[in-house]
Amino acid sequence: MREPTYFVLAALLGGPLHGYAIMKRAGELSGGRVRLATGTLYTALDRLTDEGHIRLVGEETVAGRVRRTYGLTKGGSAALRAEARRMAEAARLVTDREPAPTGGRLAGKLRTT
Amino acid sequence: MNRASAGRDGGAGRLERRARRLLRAYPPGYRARRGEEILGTLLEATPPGRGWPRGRDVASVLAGGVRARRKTNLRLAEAVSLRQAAILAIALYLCGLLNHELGLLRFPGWSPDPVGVGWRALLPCVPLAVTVAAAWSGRPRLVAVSAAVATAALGYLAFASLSLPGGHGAGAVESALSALIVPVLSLAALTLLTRSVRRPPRSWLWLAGLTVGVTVLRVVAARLQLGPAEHALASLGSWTATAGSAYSPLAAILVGVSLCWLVTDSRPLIAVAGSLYLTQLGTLMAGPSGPGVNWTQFIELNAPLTVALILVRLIQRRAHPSPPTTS
Repeated sequence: MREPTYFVLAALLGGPLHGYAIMKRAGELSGGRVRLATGTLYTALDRLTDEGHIRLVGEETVAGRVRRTYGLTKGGSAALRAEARRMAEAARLVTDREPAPTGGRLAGKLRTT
Repeated sequence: MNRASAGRDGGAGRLERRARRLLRAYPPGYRARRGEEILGTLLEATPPGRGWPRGRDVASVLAGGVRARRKTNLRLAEAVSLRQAAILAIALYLCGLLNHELGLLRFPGWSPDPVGVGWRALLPCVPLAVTVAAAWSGRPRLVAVSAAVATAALGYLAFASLSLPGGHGAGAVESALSALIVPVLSLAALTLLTRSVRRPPRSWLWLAGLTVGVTVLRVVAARLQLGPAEHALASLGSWTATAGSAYSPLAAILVGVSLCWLVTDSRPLIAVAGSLYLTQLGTLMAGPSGPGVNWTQFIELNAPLTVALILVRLIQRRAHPSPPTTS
């Protein structure tokens, strides 16, 4: 799963949101790293809807324009959590290991002899 | 309303107009479904006081439009897709035919008449143009009627040319009949195709307009007796290969444009290739005295384009994403 997709799904964890709110929330959650552009957002929303990860939950008219809100489906939530677990395991590979001392094994062997 | 707020409203209106223009990147069906929603988000995402959406929004909407168009085209059934390409191929071929006839058009007082058909060259032009226009406006009955009239006019012209000086040599009748085979079959095929498939996209029509436009300019140049301009437009507007070049300039332009079109749609390239086949076949059927192409050239010209088309089709079908489980 690509980072923008991950943050779009993560933005919807807190409840259904409309397009611009998803962009803002994804930006906040990623600490400003993921800045979704409008076209990218709607391409992602189309794809995620086709895949069954999100669904349309509401529609209202604001200033004469349709505003649709999207929510996570169970499948989307499961895919997001699976991706989060995968990333956490990948992160643990690095964070749980002590860095080897400078000079490595050879230096240690030389010290013991 | 004070001047500042009027300016602000004017700026917002300008921004909305520009954003709406930008949304044309999406195909019409998609725009009808989601256009207003995307527009709302685009306007919300644009910082106040700006007259244009942000650069990355512009780029992403353009890229999204290309993706949506490709997806829409790939969603069409293969048979429908190919039938629409066939309609464009025949339309382009008929425009080439119309160009040829227009090129023969002469009225008294115009530049010298090398063939001697004169004003009668105009007879098939009108029904040919109507046939193409009717195919695009989704009128199968009008296509059938105008195709029948065009067939009659082409037949009349072919046999009228037999009475011209030098037109009644050995095998002239057979030659005139065989020259009619490809045009008549193409008109019949167009009639059948327009009955069974919805009309092709309007955005394709300018390919046909380009071919006819060049020849209309050429006729105007002939009328004004602008020799060099007429000659240049004649060589640009010719469909068939000329000595020393594989494709005529116009054919090369159409192939180039349809190659660019591959980003979203492979059908224009299929159609241009099809019309080149028909044109060359028509020239070959017109007999050995016809200009341009022989059978060896025919194969040489079309083999690379055919291989390219098959590859393009295969690649596009493979690239068509079947919904993956994760992105």
